[in-house]
Amino acid sequence: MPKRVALKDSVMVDTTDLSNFARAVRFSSEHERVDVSGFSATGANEYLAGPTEQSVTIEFYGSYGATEVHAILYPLHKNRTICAIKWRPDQTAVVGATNPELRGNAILYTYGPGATRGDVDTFEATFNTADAAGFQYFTT
Amino acid sequence: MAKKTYEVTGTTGYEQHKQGDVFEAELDEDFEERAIERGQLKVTTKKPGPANQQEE
Repeated sequence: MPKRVALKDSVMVDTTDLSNFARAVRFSSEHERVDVSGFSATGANEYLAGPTEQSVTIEFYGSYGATEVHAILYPLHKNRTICAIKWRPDQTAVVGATNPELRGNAILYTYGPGATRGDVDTFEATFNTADAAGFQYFTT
Repeated sequence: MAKKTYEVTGTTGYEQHKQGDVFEAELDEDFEERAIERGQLKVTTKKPGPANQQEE
């Protein structure tokens, strides 16, 4: 697989294409590290993988038009709505092994837009998993 | 739940559909309500097809 410059990513929130209103995406999936260390000759710690915490953080441009960022995100947050999140590297190509799509149902626990005089209005929104399926990559 | 015909009215589209496209689907009731409320979709009697095939 070649290296890439992120330019054509697809970002869908609740089936709405917000790709053009997003400029960064970060997926995080972390298994809790559970210490199961006992006495041993080496003194090395021993761990097992515990529960998994997953999230998708998207940096959006603040935009207040109909079906734009605020109109999509705020009701989802306010009403604690579970919504579908999708992200794939290339919006111009179909989902496949070389263009896998991250999908999952999520809740937006925190909604915090803001603004600074003279600066581009951007803010981060973090979506956390809403069901046991979590976020997974799909190739079809 | 029955299939309905929807027109994409929002500039940000619906799934792979662009603004003006008409498609048939059996949408979740809650999702349909959200999408219509925010102006993303509307129920229509037009024939399914891409935006450039829709009559004014």
